[in-house]
Amino acid sequence: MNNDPLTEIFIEKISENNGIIHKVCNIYCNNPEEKKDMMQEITLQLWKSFPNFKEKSKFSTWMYRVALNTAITNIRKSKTSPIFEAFSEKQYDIVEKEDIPTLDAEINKLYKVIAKLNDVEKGIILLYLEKKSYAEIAGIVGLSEKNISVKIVRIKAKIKQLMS
Amino acid sequence: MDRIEDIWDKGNAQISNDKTLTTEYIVKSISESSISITSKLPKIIWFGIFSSVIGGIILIFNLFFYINNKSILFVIIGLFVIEICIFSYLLVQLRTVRIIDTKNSNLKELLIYKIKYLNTQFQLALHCVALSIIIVTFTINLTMENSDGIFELRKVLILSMFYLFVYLINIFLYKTIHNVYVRQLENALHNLKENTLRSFSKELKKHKQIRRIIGAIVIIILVIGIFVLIIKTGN
Repeated sequence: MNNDPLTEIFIEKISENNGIIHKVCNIYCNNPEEKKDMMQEITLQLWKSFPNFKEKSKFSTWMYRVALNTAITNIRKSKTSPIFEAFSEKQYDIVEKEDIPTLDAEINKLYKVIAKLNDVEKGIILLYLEKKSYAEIAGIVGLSEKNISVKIVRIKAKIKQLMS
Repeated sequence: MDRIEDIWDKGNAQISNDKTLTTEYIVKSISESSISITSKLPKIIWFGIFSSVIGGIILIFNLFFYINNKSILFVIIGLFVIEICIFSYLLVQLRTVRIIDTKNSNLKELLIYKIKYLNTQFQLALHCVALSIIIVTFTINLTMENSDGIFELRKVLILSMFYLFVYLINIFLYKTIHNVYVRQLENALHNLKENTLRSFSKELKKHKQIRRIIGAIVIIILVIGIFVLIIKTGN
């Protein structure tokens, strides 16, 4: 498999941008088992979608798009994931996200706060913190730039409130 | 720069030291099978395709058994046409379901597409799978109850119970997928843009009504069919 040029290009590109997969998994998963499954699924979906990558956008932007689509729409969420209360049939108890041993306490605290957001908010704040432009975020999630800016202000206020 | 951004950047520096995503890991991951919910759906569709093929083959055999019995021959040809329709539809669905996860669209479009697909085309595919199982059972029954070209239907109650059981499994499958997965997608879409789900819920309702009408017609035909067969065979 290593001799296939497409596979080699894919491995090279993924290795250069492997931080994206780690960050998406850290945000959407509450424990190492979930993270392991999601990392594998995102890598697989990136591979399956790789022939469709047309280089119209940056590789990292495309990677965020596939990774977030996979995290939000492909994998069944455990009962530990927060969901929109008024729209769901039942309210699940949110189990606290486990600490990531390789990260400092302060960073783990930020991840724990982000874990309390819903899936869409997690994705938007991740893209914002990764310094993606409003136009790029709008392109990934499918909302207008104006909508994105309003949502970011709200999410940041929510995070600050939860951090304090 | 705000404090959140500072903390995040510090975390980024630490994540970049994480070396778990090695070449071996990537190669292993891309050769593994998917754990996504939609990756399990082709198995259900394959089952329907398999049943429709088996049903079609047995129907061809039955053509020779009942060549002189015009009423049964008419039923066999009708069922064969239905089997071909089911087979073609399930093949199209198999292709759709296989590429559903790799659609290169934005999150909102993908959510809308998946919700619509699972509530409409896939639901119809589940009914096709159930119908193909019922046809296979009926065709086996046709072969077994053949008495020199005359069909003698026995155990009508057991047969009817089986048909009901197959449809209950179908409903159970749909409810399972809907409750654990479609609701999750609907929640995500609602969180993304509140009004989007409402804007196409009318479309989904219309589809539901059409499905109910088709379902009612199928049930009426089945009931009349069984009734006529009971009278014809005198059981």
